[in-house]
Amino acid sequence: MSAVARPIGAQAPPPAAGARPRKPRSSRLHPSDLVGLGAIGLRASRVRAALTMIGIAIGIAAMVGVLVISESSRSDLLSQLDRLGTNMLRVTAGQTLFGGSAELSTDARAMIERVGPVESASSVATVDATVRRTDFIDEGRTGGISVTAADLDLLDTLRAEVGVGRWLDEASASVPTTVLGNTAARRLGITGTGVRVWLGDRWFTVIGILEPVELAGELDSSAFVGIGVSEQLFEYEGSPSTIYVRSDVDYIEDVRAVMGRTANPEDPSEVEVTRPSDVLEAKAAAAVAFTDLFLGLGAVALIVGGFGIANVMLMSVMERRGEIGLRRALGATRRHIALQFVSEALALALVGGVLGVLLGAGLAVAYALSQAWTPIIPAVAVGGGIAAAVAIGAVAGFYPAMRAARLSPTDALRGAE
Amino acid sequence: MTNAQQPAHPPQGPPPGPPARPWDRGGAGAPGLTPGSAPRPSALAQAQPGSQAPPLGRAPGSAPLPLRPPLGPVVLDLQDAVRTYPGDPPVEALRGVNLRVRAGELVAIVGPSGSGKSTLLHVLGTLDKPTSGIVRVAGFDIGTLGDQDLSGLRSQHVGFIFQQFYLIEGMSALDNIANGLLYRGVGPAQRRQRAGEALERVDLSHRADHRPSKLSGGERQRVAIARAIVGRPSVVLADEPTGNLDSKTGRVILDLLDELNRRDGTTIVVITHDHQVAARMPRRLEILDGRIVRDSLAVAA
Repeated sequence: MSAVARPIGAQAPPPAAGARPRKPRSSRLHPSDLVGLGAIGLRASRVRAALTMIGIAIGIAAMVGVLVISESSRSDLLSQLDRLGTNMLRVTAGQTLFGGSAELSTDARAMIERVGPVESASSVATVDATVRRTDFIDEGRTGGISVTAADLDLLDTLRAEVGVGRWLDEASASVPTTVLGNTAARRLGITGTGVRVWLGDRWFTVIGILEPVELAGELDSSAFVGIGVSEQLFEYEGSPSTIYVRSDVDYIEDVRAVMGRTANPEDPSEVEVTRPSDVLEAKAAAAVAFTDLFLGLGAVALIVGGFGIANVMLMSVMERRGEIGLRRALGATRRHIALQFVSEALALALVGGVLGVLLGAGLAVAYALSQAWTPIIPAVAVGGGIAAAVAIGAVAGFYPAMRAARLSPTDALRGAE
Repeated sequence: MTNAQQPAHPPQGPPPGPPARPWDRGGAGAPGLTPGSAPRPSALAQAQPGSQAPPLGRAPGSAPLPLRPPLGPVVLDLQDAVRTYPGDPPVEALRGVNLRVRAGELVAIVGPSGSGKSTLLHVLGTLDKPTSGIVRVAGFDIGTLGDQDLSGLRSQHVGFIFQQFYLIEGMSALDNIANGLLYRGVGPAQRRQRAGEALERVDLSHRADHRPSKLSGGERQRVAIARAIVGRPSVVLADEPTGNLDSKTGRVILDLLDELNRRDGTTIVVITHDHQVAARMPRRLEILDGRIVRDSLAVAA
């Protein structure tokens, strides 16, 4: 209200009541004071406030944690896929109509390399031999390790890495040397090169041990020998059991379609073609599905937390009738009372939300680090977590605030006696 | 709040001290009694060395008190005010109350429980509206005002003192007093400054940072009184202000109210069931069955 609002010539105080401006100045509350008002309840009953916050914090922590973990693991899978490539096909001989092992044609590899979009192809063949630590060990106790004749460029096609020592080369492929797959080395108890193992009917020197082969885990329990050695010693006739094919990723389905005819023209239907990266992609997809599930669970926890806030606020309104009456007596409007209780609910939810984000992100980062993933905290998890908490607080605080505002001042003052 | 927004009283000399308000006495007829020149409580305390009683109020045999200042315009005006609560049968809490209180008065409204004095307090404080009749508070006809305007009226013109003090726990005494200005849109710094001044007027500055739970009953009521006067309202309504206090502390509180009325010209209406409390007030109204049955002013006049 300003002086302008008064009748002209009313500078002097009106002596009679009737001449006064008809409406009093309205109550005003600085928005900044709402912050302090919202904190009164928190300070007054700290234990209750803390317990209420925990409800919200758990919900938010669950959601943020799930988002961080899934994002970290997904990015780990994606970077793995990126590193390994999704353009590899695995062509195996499969089985004959009668259940026996089929064979790929001996020139299968050369034929496949002639297909246009194929970038490289490497073959392996299972050799009829066993590998043991010494010749004193029974021939039956192979430990599940198979002997595999491998092309020299196998590691390039698989993008696999040598852990210790080196891979086969022209020279070593024609003498009795072997490179062990990671699992095979572990089963034989071999950690370094230069050791000899009993392979077939003679000593082979271990010249290298591979890291786990991510796209072809079946090779981890193999002992690799050169093609030449296999032909000389194990009657290998040049018919590969598996060919790993890298192709232009844009044409990979076309390549896949012709693999049967190319690798085994006589019985194309016996050839099995798989794409190992599909497994990783399925894993990533499964992770997304689990993320949705856990996000849903987190949301349920959050809603339960919201009911907790509403409950506590209702209790608080009943207990603080006297304060409500006092504030009305001091000039608070219904709106001021409602705003005070809504801001209190918001304060509870906001603090709970921030705690939840910290807790969820902290635990998830610890988990990601324990899995050797690069932890990723998505901004949407942090922002969304706090926004969800505030939204829940506003909804939960609304009804109690309305109850408080509707209380008549006289009832509020009487009720507190 | 500025002078420009509040109509000034007809100039009877420059308004001393705090901003002049319609209900402040001009002070011309009572030199030395204007708010600015009145002795502060601390000054009173210093003027009574050796006094064992708390520095507030009158110690027997102390210097004569200032005379009560002349009365100002009408602050509370009830004409045939009726308040009926719906029910079967309806409860007639007020059955036509006629009452006028002028600025600067110190009035007791005394009556037994059930006499309607609580309802009268609520109506006087604009917490409740009359069913019929006219109630004017600080010149505003409250029957015509909505909830929002009534809230505004309370924030500007009415101060409350309750039997239960209603101090907010978890807040210092000073902040509780500053709450008295919260709904006027006064900034926090100014609120606290004026709260400090009000605290000085009830001589409790040394307790500024104490929580209500650390204060004695008498101290709590003094804090509540400071909260009621911090905004210099047109009228202070005290609902059984000594009801929760022992008789000695109660006397100190009544002395303080008396002093605020004499020194600052604060208009105070005390509602009580206690005739001894009422006896100390210059004007006494008796309420019975929803009617004013006796007015000491009318008898005197």
